[in-house]
Amino acid sequence: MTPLRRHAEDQYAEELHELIKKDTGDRPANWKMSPRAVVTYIMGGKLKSGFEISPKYIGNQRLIEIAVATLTTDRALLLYGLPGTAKSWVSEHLAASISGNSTLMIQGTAGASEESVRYGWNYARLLAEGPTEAAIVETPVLRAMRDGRIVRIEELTRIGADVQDSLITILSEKTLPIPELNMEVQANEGFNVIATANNRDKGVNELSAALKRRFNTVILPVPETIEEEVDIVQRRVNAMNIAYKLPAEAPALLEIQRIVTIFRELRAGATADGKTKIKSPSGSMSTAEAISVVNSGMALAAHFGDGRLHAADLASGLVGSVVKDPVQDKVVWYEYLETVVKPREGWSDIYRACKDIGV
Amino acid sequence: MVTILGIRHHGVGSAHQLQRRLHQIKPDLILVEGPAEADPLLPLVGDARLQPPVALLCYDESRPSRSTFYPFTAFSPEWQAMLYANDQRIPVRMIDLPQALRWAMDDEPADVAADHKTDYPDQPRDPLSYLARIAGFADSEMWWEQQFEQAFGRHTPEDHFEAVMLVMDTLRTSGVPSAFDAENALREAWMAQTIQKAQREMYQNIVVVCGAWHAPALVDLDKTQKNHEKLLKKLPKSRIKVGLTWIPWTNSRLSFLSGYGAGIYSPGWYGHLWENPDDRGDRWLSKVARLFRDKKMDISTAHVIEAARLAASLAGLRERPRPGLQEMNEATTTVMCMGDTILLDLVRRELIVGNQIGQVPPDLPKLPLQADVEEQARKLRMPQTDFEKEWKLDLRNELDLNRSIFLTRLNILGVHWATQEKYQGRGTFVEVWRVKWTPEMLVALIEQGIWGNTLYEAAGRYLAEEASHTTSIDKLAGMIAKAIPAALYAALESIVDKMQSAAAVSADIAEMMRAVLPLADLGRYGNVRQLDQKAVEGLLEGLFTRISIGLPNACYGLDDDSAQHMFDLIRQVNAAVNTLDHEAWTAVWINALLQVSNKDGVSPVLSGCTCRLLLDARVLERGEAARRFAYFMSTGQESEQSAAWLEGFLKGSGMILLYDDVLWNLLYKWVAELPLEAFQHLLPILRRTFAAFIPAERKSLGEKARAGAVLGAENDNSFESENHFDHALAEAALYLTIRILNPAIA
Repeated sequence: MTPLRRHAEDQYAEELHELIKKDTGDRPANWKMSPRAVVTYIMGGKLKSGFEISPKYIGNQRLIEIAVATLTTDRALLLYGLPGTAKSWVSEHLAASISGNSTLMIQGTAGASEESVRYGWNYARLLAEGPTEAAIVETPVLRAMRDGRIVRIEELTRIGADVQDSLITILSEKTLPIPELNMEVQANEGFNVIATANNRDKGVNELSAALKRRFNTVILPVPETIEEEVDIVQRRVNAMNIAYKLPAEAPALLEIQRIVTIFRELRAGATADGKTKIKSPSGSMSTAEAISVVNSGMALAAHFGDGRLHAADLASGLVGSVVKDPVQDKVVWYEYLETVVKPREGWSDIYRACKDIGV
Repeated sequence: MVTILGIRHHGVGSAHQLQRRLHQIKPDLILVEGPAEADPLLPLVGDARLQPPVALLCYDESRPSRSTFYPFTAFSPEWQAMLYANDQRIPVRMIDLPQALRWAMDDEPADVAADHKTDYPDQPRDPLSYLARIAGFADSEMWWEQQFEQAFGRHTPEDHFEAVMLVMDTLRTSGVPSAFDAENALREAWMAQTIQKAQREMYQNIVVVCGAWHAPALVDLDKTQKNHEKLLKKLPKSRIKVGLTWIPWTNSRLSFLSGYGAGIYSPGWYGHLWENPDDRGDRWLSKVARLFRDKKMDISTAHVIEAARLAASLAGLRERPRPGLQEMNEATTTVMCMGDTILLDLVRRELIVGNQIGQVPPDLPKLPLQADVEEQARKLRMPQTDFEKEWKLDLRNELDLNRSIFLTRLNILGVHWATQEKYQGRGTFVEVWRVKWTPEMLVALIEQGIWGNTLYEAAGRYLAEEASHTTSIDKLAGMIAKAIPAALYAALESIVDKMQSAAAVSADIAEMMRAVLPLADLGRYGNVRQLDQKAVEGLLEGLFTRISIGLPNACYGLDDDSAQHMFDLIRQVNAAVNTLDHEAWTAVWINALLQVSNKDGVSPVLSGCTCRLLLDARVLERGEAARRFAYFMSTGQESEQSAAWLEGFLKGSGMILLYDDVLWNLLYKWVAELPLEAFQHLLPILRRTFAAFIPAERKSLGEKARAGAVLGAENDNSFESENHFDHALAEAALYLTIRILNPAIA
């Protein structure tokens, strides 16, 4: 049995190994490699030995440099952006390359309690022995502090404000007091926090000013050019294709270009040539969604079609990702279909497929 | 001995190194790259009344629209060189090709330039980019910045200039082409000749300050002398008389293209580096924090500390000796602005570009635009005083008309000598202006000197340039409304063109309706001047078509405010349509009004308004109008809706109620049957409608109301019937009317 999805440090173990071997830069304490090597790992590149590092993030290198530079200071890093702009993906790879371990992670939910951020108690032990160090259940944060590693907090703004505030001491004093035992855990060098949060949910639990001040914020944007976005979708689809062992052929570039064009146009509210204004649907139309549309199309083609990706295989996923609100988005989608897709040359197959499915 | 010091124009590092190198060499003559005619102006550098940023303005005295600027800042190496020379009381001269010759070459390009035309298929690359790429930089500017401008602390001035010379020599001897090769050959020949002349004058220790690219060409003058002489022989004779003066410049204008090639985009930042050469970011980031605090944003000292640390680590990560502007900006965004780059625009405007304005001594020769304005003011007998005064201009009189045009043009250029005020009396031919001259206006005027050398030219070009940068129909319409009273017909054409393309992509009906109004005015004025009437007509036609298609939908489901707004627009456009009196457009417009009035869900104000306009246009039968009136006044309607409809129907004039008894009766009955509470509730709306009528109308209506409903009105057709019309009586009145309107006939 192999796991469905492997951790970054396992999947890219060879790349990390090569990078560390060739890395001559200064390493901050407890870092597995130098900041420069981290940037190379994420942005990709060729090592002097000729070894090829695959790009993990396609986009502006400066943003990644800011993120890495932030982690070398004592401020924590907040990755901010629309859903599906590779925030978690970047955070996982940052942790994997800096600490060699991307598994110290807290998933932020509305139900996340203070125990899941600071520490909990093993109640059986607590009853039997009273408060002792052995009765403490360590959280990923506590472990990361002890080991001097990076801990990731996903969807920070979904965590309740009171629980968020428990991070303040950790981030500013770099200690975690345990009053029950009259002791504290001090963070070792190399400890830092990478949090992610998305724009759309801003209102859920807005960060307090005190907490904001402890984070450097990097906004990950939606891909700037269509070429960049097509590249991202293509890479990710091909990677999944291997992971899920789909018997389908790799999708034609043309199909991916069409899907990405549709996503970009609906997201921007204007056609690619900028001539026609169109309405935007309520969903975020992120790159991640474009990827999943192509993936589900591939699965359909593999298991129920002839193994080649046709417009019909894409249509259902496409409609599903555009029409999130059955009333408003339906209007948006039909308008787009009739005014933009229909007259476009060579797009009649996708137009017909979408019409056939309806909403 | 001749020492060639290659610099980058506006390079801070170059300026620092130059300053130090000059003190080492102690020359007895300094030669600076710049137009040869400028020499007489150089002694002013160092005068306390001449404060950079300033620019050297060269203009063609016979054709003042032709001009070139050479801007200088405190950190321009050329400025520092001149400052040093004047300080040490040694001569300083400009050695570049005289501006007169350059212009003469422009006039006959076939002759001289053709000989040197290179046969590169495309514009050659920036020569420095070859080296930048080897060094691993994507951008040659950045490479130069890192290599030479920011590292001035680490190299001695001697090494610095030797390295610059080596770089350029290597590039030039390897035959790397530059975009200006043909021109450069001539310029360098002239520079060489000037240096040799100075040598013959027995100067012992000459320093030449020129753009780095030229430096290698000026080293071995004896070897190149023959070639240079040959080149210079081909130069045309120039009879152009070049006018020269210093003018104040601003930081934001430093980014404009100028006589020194490309401008610089961050003069404020360079200015900071010039004044604080040792700053590693702390001081700059404190300035940024201060700016944010001024704008009421909470930025603590801790923010500044964190930002400075981030900037330093970023520089380390990128292997830069010290953080540059890019690192500062990234640190500011990330630490102070929550990753949001919008606030950075503020920093860019206030600090990175900065808002310094230079100063020049008042007794300098005048700028052509300034001279033109003063000359016109004199002709129009409008003294430039700081005494506030009101001018009442009667546009029927030519002098006053010209004054109005003059003031409007100044306003277009942002020189607000006069502000127009609303005229309280009757007549569209009177304008009231309040004038007050302040010294800042001179700066504003001089700043606008780049647009042209006469007021007419400058205002026209400025408007056309503004128009080319906007796609907002509203803004373009505003520009048309400004251009007409300023009589800028040439600019109008380009604005109209731009509007044409903007209207083609717009989906905002209200915007297009607003655009019709100034265009309709144009239709009235246009035939007077050489304006291309066809273009305006084509544009109006397109606008009317789009408006008519979109209007019914644009009127649908509006809230009260938007409905009022639309109501005003419809009436204005209707008035414009009547003024234009164009058969096809009227038909299109009427059709749109009909659709609005027949559509359900249109707010009652608009439905009343369109009903009235259609009645006035005699599209709607009187009977049909009465039917609609009755329908909206009927008890089944919400009384608020009735009142709103009434407002739409009657706004502007209540005359119709005086002569149409059927409508009067319907209204009378409706008001009489309103429950007391509803009446009180509606009173404000009704008042809003009736209060706008002229007093005489209100009085007659009041008298009519006292008499109550008019009996038998439903059967009376006298209003429309031909039979009751007394032609003889009408003719008598007709004659008198004609005499009043045009006394010449009678």
